[in-house]
Amino acid sequence: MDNRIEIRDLKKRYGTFELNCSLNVCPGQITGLIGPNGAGKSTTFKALLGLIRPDGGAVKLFGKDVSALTASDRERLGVVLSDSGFSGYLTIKDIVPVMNSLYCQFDKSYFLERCRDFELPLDKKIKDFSTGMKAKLKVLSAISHNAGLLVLDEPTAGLDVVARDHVLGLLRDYMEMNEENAILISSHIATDLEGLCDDLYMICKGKVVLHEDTDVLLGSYGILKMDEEQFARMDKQYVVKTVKESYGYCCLTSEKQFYLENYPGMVVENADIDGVIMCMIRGE
Amino acid sequence: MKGLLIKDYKLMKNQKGYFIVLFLLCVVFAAREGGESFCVGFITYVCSLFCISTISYDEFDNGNAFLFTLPFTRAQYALEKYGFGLLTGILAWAVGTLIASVAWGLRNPQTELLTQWLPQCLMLLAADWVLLSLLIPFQLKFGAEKGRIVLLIVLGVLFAAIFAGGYVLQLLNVKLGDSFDFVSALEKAGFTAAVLIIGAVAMVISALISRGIVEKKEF
Repeated sequence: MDNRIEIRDLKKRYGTFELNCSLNVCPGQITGLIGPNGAGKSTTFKALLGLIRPDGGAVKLFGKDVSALTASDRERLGVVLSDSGFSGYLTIKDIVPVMNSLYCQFDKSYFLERCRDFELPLDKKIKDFSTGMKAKLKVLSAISHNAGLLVLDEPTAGLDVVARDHVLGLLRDYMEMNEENAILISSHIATDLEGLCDDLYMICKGKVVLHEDTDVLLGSYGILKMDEEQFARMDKQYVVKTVKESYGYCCLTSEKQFYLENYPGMVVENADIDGVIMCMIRGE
Repeated sequence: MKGLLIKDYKLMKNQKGYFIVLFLLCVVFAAREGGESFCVGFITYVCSLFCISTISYDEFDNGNAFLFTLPFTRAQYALEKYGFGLLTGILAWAVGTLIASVAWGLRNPQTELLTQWLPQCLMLLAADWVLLSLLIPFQLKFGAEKGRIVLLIVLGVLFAAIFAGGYVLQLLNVKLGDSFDFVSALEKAGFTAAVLIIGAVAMVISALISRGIVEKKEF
């Protein structure tokens, strides 16, 4: 079966910034895209959605080049963008007939039912919604038309913990609707991705610097902390990145068990996504 | 395309008060002696301009980025703006013509409505199509703010060229009226039809240009 998303050597240049990235999203998977601000996440999303023209490489959705997607192909796609959505001058009541006309499989009753569950006002202009209400509406719009793929750029940005939980709950519901559904999601909130994603791509300065299953990342990766003497003596074959600190060295390893077993005096911590990002950006 | 038309209609519906005022103004203009043509032109052009403002609504708050992920092609988006402009323009024109025709009929009971008054109204409709043909590509290419400035410059240059041309013809002692004698020889209906065809052709050419503009845009 075709990958839901296939990006191969995507290139886009803006001044001195150059994006060069490859990634895949398979059916049934939730893939996370992480990285610091300005790393190229939004540019990747825009290229994927056909909003910008790449300078090189191939971008495919549902096995088809993104520039060749028809309107009916796009019906299989649900999109959330952090800085864009339906016109703020419309209400939910206005959106319903628009969605109904655009999407053959728009589930109006599900959409309205969930709007009521989340207490989203049907008659209020979207521009007067709170950040949480806007985020819920965006995700609800994306999942209410039987899309096979969701592309979500920072869907939880600016949300409090309760609103985030609601949004993540919607995404889990979406994955349960069909076992071949897939999601590509970016977020600055590492814990959201840790609990949701099957695999993670880390992008930095326009390049993919890490791709790993989330379970492997959280289970096998670790942060090692040591003084200069320990650093000089240690076996560095499983060290991914090294960061010079005031107390000595901090290393990201892909095999924390190896160091736990062979270096009893060394501080070995479990790696979380934030820790990995820090080491990958600052490390050498 | 239907979804886009509904979206624009819903945006227009938010301006109910504005359209009621427009309608009342139209009645006032029609009630004035000699204000019938202005009444038709005014309501038609102002309503058509709303089509242009839907492009601004789409752009507002980076809305285009999300809008262009929805299931329609860029060509459909460009064409929808012309469709919406035509629909609003024709509807407003019909309302304006109806009001003004009543006023005209009451004031000129001896004249033929069909041969003397209606051709004027149809030419105003054709002029509306030409106006839309000029405005939509500029708005799509340059956006709300820049579009207005660029259009003003283009219209300024156009008027300056017409004025300069007239001045040159005057210097050369050419009488413009002579050149257009053939027009008066044509039947009024034929001339009106020709003007409407020119308006329609302008719309088609403009739509093709707009499609190219939208297809090249990045968001």
